[in-house]
Amino acid sequence: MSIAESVGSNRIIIGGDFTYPSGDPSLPPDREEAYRIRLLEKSVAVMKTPIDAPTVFSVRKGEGESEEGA
Amino acid sequence: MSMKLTRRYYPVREVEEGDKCSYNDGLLTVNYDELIEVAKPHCKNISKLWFEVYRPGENARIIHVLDTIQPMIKVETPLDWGGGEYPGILNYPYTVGSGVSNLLDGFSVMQCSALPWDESSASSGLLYPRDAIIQTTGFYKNYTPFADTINLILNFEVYDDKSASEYDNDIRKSSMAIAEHLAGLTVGKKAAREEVFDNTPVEGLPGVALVWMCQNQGVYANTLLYGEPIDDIVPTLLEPNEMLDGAVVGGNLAWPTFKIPTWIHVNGPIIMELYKRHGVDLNFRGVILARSHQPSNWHKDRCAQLIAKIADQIDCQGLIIQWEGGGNAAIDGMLTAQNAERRGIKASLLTFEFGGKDGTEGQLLVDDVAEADAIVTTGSWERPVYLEAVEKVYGGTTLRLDRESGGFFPEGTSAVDFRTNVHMYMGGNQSGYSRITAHAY
Amino acid sequence: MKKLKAVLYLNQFYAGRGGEDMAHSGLEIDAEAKGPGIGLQGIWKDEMEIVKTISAGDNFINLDANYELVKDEIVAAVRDAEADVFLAGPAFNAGRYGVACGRVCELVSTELGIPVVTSMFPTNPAVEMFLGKVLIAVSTETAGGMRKSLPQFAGLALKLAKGEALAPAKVDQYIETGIRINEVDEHSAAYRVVAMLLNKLNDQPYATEVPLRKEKQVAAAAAIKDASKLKFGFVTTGGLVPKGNPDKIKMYAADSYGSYEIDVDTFNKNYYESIHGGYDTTAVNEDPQRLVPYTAAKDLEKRGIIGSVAPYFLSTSGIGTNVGMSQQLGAAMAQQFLDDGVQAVFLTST
Repeated sequence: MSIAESVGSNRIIIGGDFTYPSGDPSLPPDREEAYRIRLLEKSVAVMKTPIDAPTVFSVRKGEGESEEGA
Repeated sequence: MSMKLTRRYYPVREVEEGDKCSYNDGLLTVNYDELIEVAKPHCKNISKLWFEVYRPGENARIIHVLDTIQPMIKVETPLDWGGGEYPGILNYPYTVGSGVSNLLDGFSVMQCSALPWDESSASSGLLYPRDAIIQTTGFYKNYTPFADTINLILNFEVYDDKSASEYDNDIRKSSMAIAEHLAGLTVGKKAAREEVFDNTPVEGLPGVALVWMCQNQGVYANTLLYGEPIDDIVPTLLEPNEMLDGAVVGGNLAWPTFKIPTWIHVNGPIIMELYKRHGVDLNFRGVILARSHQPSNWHKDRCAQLIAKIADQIDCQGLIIQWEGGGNAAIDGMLTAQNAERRGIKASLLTFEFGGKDGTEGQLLVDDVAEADAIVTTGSWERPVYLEAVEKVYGGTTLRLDRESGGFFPEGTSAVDFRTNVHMYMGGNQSGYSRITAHAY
Repeated sequence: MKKLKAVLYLNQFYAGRGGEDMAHSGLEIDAEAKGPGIGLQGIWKDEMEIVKTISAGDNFINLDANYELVKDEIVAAVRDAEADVFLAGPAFNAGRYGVACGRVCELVSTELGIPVVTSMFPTNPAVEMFLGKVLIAVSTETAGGMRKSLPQFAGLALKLAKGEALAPAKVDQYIETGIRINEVDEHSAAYRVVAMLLNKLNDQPYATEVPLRKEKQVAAAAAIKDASKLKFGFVTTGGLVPKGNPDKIKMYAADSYGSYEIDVDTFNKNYYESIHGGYDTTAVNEDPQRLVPYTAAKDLEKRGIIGSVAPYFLSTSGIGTNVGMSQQLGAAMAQQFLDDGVQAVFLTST
């Protein structure tokens, strides 16, 4: 994370872990896919956000969990 | 707290074959059948073991190098507890660092093996032993001490279809057994010289510790502390003498340029430098051993904080930070420097640099912190390496390169060019041994 | 032994013609040493002498029209003197003087091919303009440090005149050009790192051997207005490739990238692997979508959040990738996307 910021990546999302940036092996497949979808939704929202310096956003597991239930 | 260790040095000036192993006044006589008998109990997965001897001055190359061992034997332990050198490998893991240890000087036991490439290991592409090369003449000989030592080369062949862990374990234990057996030949003999390592504090001098962060990411990329991999240790305070007696053993075979051989763990260049100055310029308080390449930011911060806390706890005014490994490890090293400086502990560190073909391309460092204002360079790993053809090759006959791109197998003695120094043993110079540096023009 | 010959360029002040009031004065050539030139000769003794001093007002020479008028005269003077080396300055921290020095040095070097050296304080604005083109000896900030500045200036000029190789910048005291060469030092890194810490602890001067990174900021792209109209693409530096690595992307120090079509039916562990050697690839080898979340993107497309998803991904391996190469690869990837109408990219990195 510090590297992405320091080399000047402007829009940075912290996803899973550096061994699985868009995923989470600890989740069952359908929950992992739901997490990936949230990651990309957040990415799109970030791309629509004006920024002028490297900024870090994060998508925590469990955040904004679907209302339809597990 | 301090420890006192006496090292007795027995120089090896020549190695000859004979009817049985013996050491007399600089002459080491070896009998290979005897050594194979010594190694046998640890060779379940080894199909063949044969020997070569490299002598300083030869125009040669040593390839497929794995670990290199300082032959040593503990002859006196405090209170006669027992145990011995390299605790936890063959010897019982009693605490080491005091008493008396005998060393064969100017001599190493060096493991060479073309380990199977298609062997699955803990982490797919990451952890296989890339071909490691020692060039004994020319500019590149300066990377290691082993161009100037007599090296007994142990060539291993392994049975197919065994695990990486089994190969790794057998090669380590059998070579340790041979090293111990040879060092044992000095027992009862008069040493050429003795050196006492005693870090009893002297009043009025600043306290300094060495932070030593080692790689541990799975089989073929491990470091052992008293016999166990350091995978999830918290930063651990050691006395420098524990390092000298082999508390830390290298099991890191994945990246030749970055891995620290066991020989260097027990003859640590920075440890020796700090000892030289102990009682003169500084008090050498200890070695803080930690795992580098911490697997997440959460772990990195946790580790860096604990290192700085320990340094504070043992009254250090200064820290020297050394690490084994690449970009990932550099982040941990830099974070540690930051944590130390913010506590008022001054830090210096050493690292290899990038810079492309002549220093002007891209950045020199993969990571840094504003507090890192005292950095020593260990040279650039990114400059092309041009190895001249040599007369003789030890440890194998053919180089094994570029596994990911289909494999390239030039003759072991031939001239060969590399884009970086990744295949040069100790090329990254992360222990500070080498005088090769990047001079700014 | 014959004395070597040097020609020195000075501004009006150091040539003794006056201060700011004479900054407009034109080119003058004297057949002897003046100002700092006398000090330089004192250091060179019998080895070298200044046979000509060329001077001009700082304001005069910095006007392009004037420079064009006099440059041939400058070159001719140096040529006629049969100079072994050409010097200019010291300019200390004076910007106009520094630019003049750099410019005449570059001129002489280009036209006559003889070695040149100037002298400036490292933050002189002219340094950035001429570093790498003209050798710049380190000087103090102001003329008060003339005596401290002349020795290295003289030493470098003499080495150049004799055709001797330069020592590293710290030794011969010139401004680092960025070139760094692996060489054998007097001391091991172990010795130096302990010595450096001791200096730091004892409040003695020390100098880091590695300057910290200077990031060249890439300006953030403007925020997108309507994602539902845009085509999105994927890039990963996690080393994801079709099994067997058909394009032979290098695991470390990569110098290429691959472009791979995605078919939902085959985008799984049986057909893909990661060849990145710097992290545990077990998780991504189990499921390539942990690097390229393609089906998740298709879900966003289906729900109209994004316009469409390019049915391929671009991939390289991010270990030890040279920064210059990374910039090249990035630019090439961006061009490929632009040619394909992709205007937004998800990039995953390990």
